[in-house]
Amino acid sequence: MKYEFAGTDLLIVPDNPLAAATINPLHKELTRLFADAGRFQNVVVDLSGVSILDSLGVNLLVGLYKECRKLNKPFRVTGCSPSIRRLFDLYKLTEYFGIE
Amino acid sequence: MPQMESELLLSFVQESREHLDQLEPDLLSLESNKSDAELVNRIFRAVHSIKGASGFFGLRKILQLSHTMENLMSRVRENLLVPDKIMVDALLAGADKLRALIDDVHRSNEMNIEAESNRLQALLTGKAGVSATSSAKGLSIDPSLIEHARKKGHFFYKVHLFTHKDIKDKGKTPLDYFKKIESLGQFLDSYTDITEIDGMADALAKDLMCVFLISTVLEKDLMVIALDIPEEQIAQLTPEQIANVGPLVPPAEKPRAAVLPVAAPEQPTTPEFAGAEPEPAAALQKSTGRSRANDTIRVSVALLDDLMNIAGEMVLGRNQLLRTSESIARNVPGMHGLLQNISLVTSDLQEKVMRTRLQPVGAILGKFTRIIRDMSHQLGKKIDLKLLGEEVEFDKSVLEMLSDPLTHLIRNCADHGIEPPAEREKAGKPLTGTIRLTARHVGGQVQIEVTDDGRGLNPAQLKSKAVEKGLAKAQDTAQMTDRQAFNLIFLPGFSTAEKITDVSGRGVGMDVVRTNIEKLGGSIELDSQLGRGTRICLRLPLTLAIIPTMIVGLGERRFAMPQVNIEEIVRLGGKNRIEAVRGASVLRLRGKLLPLVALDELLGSQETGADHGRGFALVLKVGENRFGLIVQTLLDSEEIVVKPLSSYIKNCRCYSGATIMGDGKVAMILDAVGIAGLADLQFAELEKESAALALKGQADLSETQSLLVFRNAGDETFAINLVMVARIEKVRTRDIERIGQKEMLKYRDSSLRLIRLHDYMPVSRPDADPEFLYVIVPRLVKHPMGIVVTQVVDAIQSTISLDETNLMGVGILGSAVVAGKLTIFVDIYSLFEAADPENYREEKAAQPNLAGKRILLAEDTAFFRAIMTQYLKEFNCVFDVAADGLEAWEALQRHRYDLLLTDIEMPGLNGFELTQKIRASETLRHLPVVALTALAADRYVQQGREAGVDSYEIKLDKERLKATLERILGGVRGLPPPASTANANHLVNLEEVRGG
Repeated sequence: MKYEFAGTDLLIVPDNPLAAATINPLHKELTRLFADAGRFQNVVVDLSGVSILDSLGVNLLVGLYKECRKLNKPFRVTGCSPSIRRLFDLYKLTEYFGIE
Repeated sequence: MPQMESELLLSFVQESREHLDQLEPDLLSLESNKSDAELVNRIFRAVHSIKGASGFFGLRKILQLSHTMENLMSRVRENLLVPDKIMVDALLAGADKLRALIDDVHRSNEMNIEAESNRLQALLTGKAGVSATSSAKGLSIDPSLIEHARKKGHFFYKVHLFTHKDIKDKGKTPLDYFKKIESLGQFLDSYTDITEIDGMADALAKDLMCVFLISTVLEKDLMVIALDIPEEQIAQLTPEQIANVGPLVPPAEKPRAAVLPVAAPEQPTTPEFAGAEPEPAAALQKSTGRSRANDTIRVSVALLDDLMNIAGEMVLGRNQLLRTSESIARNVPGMHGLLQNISLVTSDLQEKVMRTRLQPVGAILGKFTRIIRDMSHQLGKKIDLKLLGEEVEFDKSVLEMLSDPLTHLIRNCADHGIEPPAEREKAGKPLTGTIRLTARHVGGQVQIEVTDDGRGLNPAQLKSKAVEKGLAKAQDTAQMTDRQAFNLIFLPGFSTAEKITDVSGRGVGMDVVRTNIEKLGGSIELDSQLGRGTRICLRLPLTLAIIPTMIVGLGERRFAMPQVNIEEIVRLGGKNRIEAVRGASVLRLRGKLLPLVALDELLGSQETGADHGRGFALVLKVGENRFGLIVQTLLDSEEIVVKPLSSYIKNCRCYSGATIMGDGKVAMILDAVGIAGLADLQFAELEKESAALALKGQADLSETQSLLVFRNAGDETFAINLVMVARIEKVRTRDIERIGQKEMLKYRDSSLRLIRLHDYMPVSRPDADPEFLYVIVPRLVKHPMGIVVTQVVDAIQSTISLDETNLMGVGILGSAVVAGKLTIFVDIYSLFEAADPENYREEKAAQPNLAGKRILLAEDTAFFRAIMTQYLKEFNCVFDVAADGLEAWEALQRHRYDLLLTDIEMPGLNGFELTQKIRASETLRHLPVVALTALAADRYVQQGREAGVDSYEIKLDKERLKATLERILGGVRGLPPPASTANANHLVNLEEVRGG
């Protein structure tokens, strides 16, 4: 996973696949980042590199969204592939994820 | 006009309250029945009615708030908004505020409604966060899709899918899975319940639930195979159901155009949820929400109370009529039938009137839905409340008083009983805990059961907690059954929660719940299985207006004691003697001390002087405690009609009401709780005393004293130790002969001189001699004389603390409170000395031997200490007093004594041990030791001999003691003359036995 601070934004770029095999280190890293949540205002997850997403990946994104809502920080998911976009549609998550 | 307006306003307030009463349950069920058109309409109408009338009265704030609520509901009605948790919350808050405004209607215009108003407004304008808008999106299903599917004969399914359990754990990805779903049919709508996840911390562990609606040609069993999920997660919806849930659709025209909103964040999330609809819970909610029928009118409760009273009077009147017309009825033809008719109609009338006061228990159960809903949010638990038997009816007054205890129980279940979801999951239970509240009729009573499937009570934990808090003893709890252990939580000061939360523990405990239930004449029972749940069962009478009682008598007066309070009835007298502990009367009942209250004394009744020892004790239960109420007579058990107390005597704590008996006389209803409070019973103290007595057991009996209690004039009470009494004779006053100044009685072939207390002691003199007198013949005196008294009250066993300074004078040893009365202890020796100076002075003059001898007295009982001190003073001895064995031992180290006079039973170091120490000591071993005892048992003699006691004396035998002391100290040999033959066998002279 890569992440960078762009101004007040925290940009998270997960590696492919976003799934069971990779999820735990990612979750740990994000938890560490959020422990110091004062460093950023907006959170953006860039999924352009992700083509495989499993249930745990969905859980992680929902967790991120809820965490941001708790902290009052806008949350956005960008760079979805058409199939992932469709998945979010079916899950009715697009709205939470700020996907137009 | 103002008069009329205020009446109108009052009726508006009342009506609005009823609307609000209905509104709350309706709103609560709205959350789960979003598409119930009738429900939505009813809510709309309720708010609308309040709005309309408030405008008429110029109640601006009520108008404004209800208007906003109405607007919101009308949007729901038009399907522009779908109710969800956020909306229901806002509406509930609005309803709460409306209630507050209406409760204080005159100042409502000054109250602040901004918060509630804004919340509702936000929902209207769609700015209330994601939820509202997403709900609105729920409406985006294209009606044509539904219509199309119907035409093709598709089935409609609502599917609950768990992303971990159903997808991940089966090695699939959501993308594949949804592709498959889309291949099965037409995907209509969906939503995901993301409330499960709180944030990053629990993101991965939670199983997200996704609900979707699909139309397909597959039948249900094929769907189960295709989707590879448990059957109960798929619910089939018939076209009719879709038609039913769709609001505002002309029934015949386009039923399928109805919208099926499924965006419901508050769907049941347990994997076991019942897929089949309608669910039982839904059916229940329907009954909560059933609207009031129109064939009722509103009647004020005061009027019903009056009616109830009048009906009661009618019954009493009927009873009197029947009684007095018995003889007439036989002579007048037709009269009998008439009377019977009146009798029947009266009973019927009373029953019907009683029923007007009955209300369905649902009236209070309904509010628990709200409480549980709020609590489950607060506690982060998932709780389902199931109400059963809401139609069961109760007397209004019972119902009102039941509300608080029940609330407490329900809160307890939710707070302490139901585990957090994580814990439940670990225990393999459904995530959602269930609290079940059931009301039903059981044999003339109503039974209310509160059960939960939570963690249950742990008996071992309860026991250790009770011990830790000093509420029970470890050795007692060890023998408790589980059920007894559960009952520990009813002890005052017991709280099961580790910490007191603001949710349930508020300082009031289960003891208050129990007290309140018992006040209603009910009972409470608790059962629990560790890890499985708890069941609490309340049993209550249908009404408080008629209660079974025991009628008791005190002189001419009669009283009614409710039978629920009576545990048992004990006839006093014989073995059941009244005793005194710490100045209070008690009854030793099966080894426990039962505090006693005499009804006549409590009421300051004129008929006092009644012999309490001969009456009855009603053993009454007040919470955890029991006490005995002494009454003179028991009359009957009777069902009585309770009448409220008049305001003049409302503050009398010992009465709870009044009733009119069959003969027309009034009987007061006694209030057990009030009486216990009024008599200021020290239950805790007695409990301790009881325990101490049980512990000390037999050994202690020797330290309590047997007293003969008697009276000479009026109330003045006297006592002497029974050891001093040889016998009591009942004599005719006229049998007493006078010889000069002296009264004599022929007694066993010889004559006995009689003396009167008042002739020598500073006490009252009786007005006149009754027909019979009693003569107490003492023993342990050299020249016996009979003491004349007018009344022998009782022989009792009691511990006494003798006060020697309060009352002083000839013949008075001191005073103490015995059985609640100040009692004078008679000193027979000084009395006799005053009455017969010749014989007794001589005695005194003839014994110089003891003067100046140094004696140490060891005696722990104050009463005996006082008497012995007096004797030693008379013997002109120099003496010190030690209050126990250790103190005596210390005194012996410091001073030189000629003799030790010691009690046997003493704390610390007893008389034998003390003697053994003395015999073992180099310096003291020759000290003469005289042991004193109240009971000379053989084993004591043996023990005394082994310990090295020189002589044994019966306590209080002054002559004998003096002789012994003289013999040992003055070198006088031989036995002292026996004081009385009756006593001789008790006396043992060990020196004689030893041959020394």
